[in-house]
Amino acid sequence: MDLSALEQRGVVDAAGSAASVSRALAALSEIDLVRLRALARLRARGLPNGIDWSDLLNEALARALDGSRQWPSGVPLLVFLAGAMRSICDDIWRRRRREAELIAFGISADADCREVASPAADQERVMAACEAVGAIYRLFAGDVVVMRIISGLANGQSAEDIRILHGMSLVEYQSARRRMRRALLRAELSGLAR
Amino acid sequence: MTNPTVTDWDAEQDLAALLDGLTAELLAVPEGDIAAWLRAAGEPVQDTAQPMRRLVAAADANRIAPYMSIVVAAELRMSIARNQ
Repeated sequence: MDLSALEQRGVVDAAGSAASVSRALAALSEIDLVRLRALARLRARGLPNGIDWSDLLNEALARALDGSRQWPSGVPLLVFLAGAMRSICDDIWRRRRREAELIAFGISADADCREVASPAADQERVMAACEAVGAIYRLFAGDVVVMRIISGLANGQSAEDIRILHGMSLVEYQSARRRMRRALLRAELSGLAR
Repeated sequence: MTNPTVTDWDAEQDLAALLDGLTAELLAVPEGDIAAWLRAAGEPVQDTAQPMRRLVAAADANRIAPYMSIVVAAELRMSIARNQ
């Protein structure tokens, strides 16, 4: 295959992206490595049983390092990897749904004569989401202001929206945000060295 | 007085928004704050980062035929990785 054909298929870009990821990973600071673990542990909440944060992180690293997921220029590496883990979670649930359909309908899962839905994977996903949301809320239980912020985040509100909605001063909001981050670090990093 | 119902609650949507919001928070925590929290928690930074360094290095070392998954078959890497 000549170079132009490879370029047309994005292979050269993929090679450059993969090499850049490899170099950037080797250069990550210790704190950023710790942060990466916390990001993976957080994102793995709500995944099916049997898949943990290290599986998720490994898959994200594999996709970044083989060039199948390209690192856009100007995007910080950890932001890129966090995005990769987010889409892998969606892939995992899509695959789970497909597997549930195959179990229910066999190889004719694509046939258009289905009369019965196969909700098993969807129910599992909803249940996992309920448990994960509950676990996240429990991390901040007892801190009313932080709970308001968390609730706002769950509703997709911006920091500024949340602050204004609840009449918080900037100082009160920033203080609560620090407490929230500490609770988050405690939840996702405790026991790291063991 | 009637109790509010939660029949319209979409747990998946809530979780997705929560995780996005908290991911942004983790990305925004200053390095100094993480280092300070690790110190206060008795988790030495070097000790905690080492296993991650090894995990990342192993992922890099285990790269299989770069770009093959693009050129030949998208599912190839996944199936090889599963059988390792």
